[in-house]
Amino acid sequence: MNRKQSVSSQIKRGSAELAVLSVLAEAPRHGYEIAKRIREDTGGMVTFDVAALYPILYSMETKGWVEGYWEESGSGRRRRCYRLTTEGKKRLQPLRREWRDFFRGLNRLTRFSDA
Amino acid sequence: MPDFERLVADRLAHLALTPAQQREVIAEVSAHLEEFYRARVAAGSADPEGETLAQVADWNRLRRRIQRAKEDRMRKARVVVLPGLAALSLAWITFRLSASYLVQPFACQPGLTSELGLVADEMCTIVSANTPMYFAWLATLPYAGALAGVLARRAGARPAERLLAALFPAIAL
Repeated sequence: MNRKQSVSSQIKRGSAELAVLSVLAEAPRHGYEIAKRIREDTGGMVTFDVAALYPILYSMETKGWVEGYWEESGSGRRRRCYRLTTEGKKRLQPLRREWRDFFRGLNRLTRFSDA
Repeated sequence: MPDFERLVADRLAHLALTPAQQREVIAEVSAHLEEFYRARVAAGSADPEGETLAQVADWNRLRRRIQRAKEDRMRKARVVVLPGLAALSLAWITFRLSASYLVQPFACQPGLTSELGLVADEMCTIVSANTPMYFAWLATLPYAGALAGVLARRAGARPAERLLAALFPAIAL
């Protein structure tokens, strides 16, 4: 049970990191935009609510993968944006490779593409 | 529109971060909720407030996760290990300096050893020279622990971390 949960949480965490880093690799964004972009680009299959997004963003910031900075929106509201750091870019490359290999393997195993 | 900043500030009131960090987290999370709320209103939602509040099912869990995520990896070393080591070193130096003056004269009194004979005399050489010093050293540990606790508090440790720092001199040995 614990192992199952552990594998499941690792997959969730890994996929969440990949999603956030991929979105930030395109352009700097603030939290709401990151969540919106992920939801739209995955057709609603992957969603991040506030409770899921910010711990991941803060954890990535602590690790030095992303950098947060405040900017003022058109309405005068201050928002915290995030951009990918060099360290984050380095992290994204192997992460993409790992997930591509993972899905290829899973695809071979389950014949997803034939279904 | 509900006052999300106040709501978030109430829910995340016990975040053990610096005041500046806490303000930033509250401002950021409430800005997200406001934006989400506006989007739900624009989409014609019947219950935008309910949908927005559903973004966080368990505020305590979010608080703990933010806390962990924001924690500096070196924090434990700074607020627990360093005060513990400093107190331990100071206690050790104080003990070594005082031991030679206070403990050694009582370690092996000539009168006592001559009455107990050779075996006791041999034991005296081994035990009496070390045991009182050992107990004297143990006696310094509570003071070292208290000092570590004070230093940890000054370094910004939370209560559990202060306790850990206070136990550090005893655990480290």
